[in-house]
Order: sequence, then structure tokens, then C-alpha cells
Amino acid sequence: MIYFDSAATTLQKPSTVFWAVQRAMQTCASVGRGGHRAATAAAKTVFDCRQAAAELFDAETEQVVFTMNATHGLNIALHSLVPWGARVVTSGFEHNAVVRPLYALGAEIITAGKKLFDPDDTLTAFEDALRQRPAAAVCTHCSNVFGYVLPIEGIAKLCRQYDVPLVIDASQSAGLLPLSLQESGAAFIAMPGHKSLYGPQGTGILLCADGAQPLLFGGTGSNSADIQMPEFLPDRLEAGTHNVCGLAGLTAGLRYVKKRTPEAIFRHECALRSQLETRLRRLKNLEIFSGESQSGVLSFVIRDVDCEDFAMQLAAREIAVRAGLHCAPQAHRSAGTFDTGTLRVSFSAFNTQQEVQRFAENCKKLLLKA
Amino acid sequence: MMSQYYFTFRSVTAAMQGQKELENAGIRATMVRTPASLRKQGCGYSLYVSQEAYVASEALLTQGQKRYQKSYHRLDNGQWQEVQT
Repeated sequence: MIYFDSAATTLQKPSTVFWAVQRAMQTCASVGRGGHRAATAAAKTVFDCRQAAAELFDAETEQVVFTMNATHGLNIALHSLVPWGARVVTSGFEHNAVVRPLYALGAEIITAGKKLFDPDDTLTAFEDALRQRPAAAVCTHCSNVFGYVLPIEGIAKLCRQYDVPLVIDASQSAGLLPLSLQESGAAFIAMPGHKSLYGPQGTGILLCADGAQPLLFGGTGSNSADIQMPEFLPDRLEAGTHNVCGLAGLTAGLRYVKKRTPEAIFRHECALRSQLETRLRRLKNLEIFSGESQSGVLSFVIRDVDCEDFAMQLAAREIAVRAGLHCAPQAHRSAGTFDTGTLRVSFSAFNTQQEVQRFAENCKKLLLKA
Repeated sequence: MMSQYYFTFRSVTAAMQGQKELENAGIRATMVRTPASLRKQGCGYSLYVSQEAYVASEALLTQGQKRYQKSYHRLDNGQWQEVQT
């Protein structure tokens, strides 16, 4: 299979990830629930993951909280910062993982910056919106639909200047772009483990500065005599048994990213995206969305062809891409593709130039038949 | 019985962080469940070190900020005595 849907989940993982999951399943019990060998092995496994994440994202070990996915982390962050009906600034490219929790909180959403691949416009729009004294700003680091890399350092600086807590959705950037909890001054940074960190599905990380409120309540293996959740991190946000096997795999993924370096993986993916764009531009009836400040994600629309039909035809040829709205209707509204959706191609460290070539050839054949 | 000193921590994460810091300094520290008689708030984790390593351990675990909750000396009769620092 040619797998070009890594913005959803990276399918190919380093082999060390599989081994780590298997080993954890055979040796680990629950974290913080005992002093025997299997409990200690679990505690060490999870601690190793916490430490690897803290190193990669410039955070203190206790500021690394494990979640089920980025959505879970974003829900914790937004419920911590946004009182009912409060004003919140978001970019024009947010995922439903941000928009739906805000809607559920009755938030008044100010959408700042709808121009694709225009960091200056995004910054100007954010500054205008931050003047309206919102309770929080929430911004994706990189659009999951179009690969637009938003000027997050500039946005973080503005948030510090206007004293507005910032939540960064790093779902598409963690493992690819530089990200520092300390330097950004963000209140929270949420990310999945199963995308560019190459961990298993069901893993996620929430980096927390302070002020976090629990979304789940229950046992933590600490302060058990107290009826309230512990005040300290990470226990405050980690009720219930951890996904130890998943986190063992995530540690292996984090180590893979660290060894290969996020910069090198990002360059590799961008090179593939550029190669694909060059080939697709030779085809007729395609509208391709590209520009400066773009990751290895490429979206395009084929005139008079249903994107879902086209993705199905590619799937029949064992080529995996994502079509539709990508759970980000706001991004499609901003780009003017809400009615059609787009076909999205997204890469990982394991994709090759040969795969891009085969993909482009298949597109050409299918378009000739259409 | 060899004299043992215990540092109690608020969480397993804090205890493991302390253990790593001590081990990086060449101090052997063993993580255990906090003895029931020492815990006021329910379950928790402790590190125990030898008598010889106590002073250096205490200094490392208070560098910058105090990372442990309390420290105890286990007497030869099995009783615990809080170490006042």
C-alpha cells in the first residue's frame, strides 16, 4: 500500500515501537499501584516516556501529562481556561477538536486570520482579536487540511504581550517543528502520540504550564486518603490506569524522532510534497493549495470530480489518502473549499520519491478515465 | 539491620525524578511504596538510601526547590524518626 494519510495517523512505525509495546504487554502492570516488579516496570516505562517528551518539548517532567489523544488534551485545556460563554480567539484553520469543545462551552469565538499561507495576515488578525480581551487564544500550529504553518512564535509573543493564555494544538507539528513549552509561554500544548511522534493510537500528550483542571476524576495512586484530586501534576490530570503499552510504544517513537531529528523529517516530507506538487501541476483541472510556510501536507481539488469518489478509486489501487472536510470545516470555510472538500496527501518519514511518482501516475490515469 | 533513610514523595513521578537525579550523581536509591505508618495522605512512593548517602542525597533533592515531602530515619528497633533539616 502507498500510505499518504499520515496527517490522520502514521501507519508505518519504527520496528522499535512494536517491540516496546509487546515487551510492555508482557512485563508491565499499573503505574503507582504497587511496589512489585510489574508495577515498578510500568512506572519506569511511563516515566521514560514522560522524560523523553519533556526533553523534546522543553518542559519539566511533571508538566508532561498523558492523554488519550490530542482531542482529550485540548478538552482539558479549554475546560481549564474558558468559563461558560467567554470570548475566545482562534485561527481560521482549527480542527473540530478545538471548535466543538468551544461550542459546548458556549464560547464567543473570534476567528482571526482566514488567509491561507499568509503569516502576516494571521498575526495582524490575532493582534486585533487579542485587543478584545479574550479569556484565551487557541491556535493550531499547522493546518491539518492545507499544511499551512501558522506563525506560532509570533502569536505566542502577542499572547504574552496582551496577557492572554495560549493553547497550542500541535497535532500536525509535534515531531516536525520546534516546539518549546518554556519559550512559547503557552498555558497548554496538546498533541497526539500516533502521528508524527510515531506512537500507537490511543496516546497523547498535554504539556501544562499551570492552572490545569481535571476532566476525569478517580484513582491516581497518590494522596488516596483525600477525596479530591491531587493538586499537583501529572496526577491531577491522570485519573485511572495509564495506557502503559501505548506509552512504551510512544517512548520508542519519541526516541526515533529524536535520533532522526524533527528538522530532517520535516525536510523530507516537504521535499516529497514539493515533488508531488510539481507532478500534479502538469495535470489539468486541478486546483492545488500551496504557498510559503507549508508543511508536508498538500490538498487539492479536481474540478467536477467528487473528492470522495476519487479517494475511493485510489483506495481500490491500494493508495490511501484522505478526502472530505478532514474534521476541520472552519479551515475549509476559510479557504473556500467547504462545499467540495479536498483531497489531502500527507507524508511520513517512511514515504519515498518512488511512491510519489506512482501516486502521480495513478492520478493521471484516473483523470484520463474520468 | 543497615541503617536506612527514606525520602517520601508526593507522586511516583516525583519519586522517579528524584531517583534519576540521585543515580546521575552516583547515589544508589531504591524506590518503594511509602510505609503505611509514614503516609498521612494515603498511597505514595519513597526513595531509600544508605546512611552514608543521606546528606548528599538531601542536598541534591533540595537544590533549587525541595522535591521530597519528608525524610525519615528507620531506627534499629524498626521505628521511624523524622529527620529535621
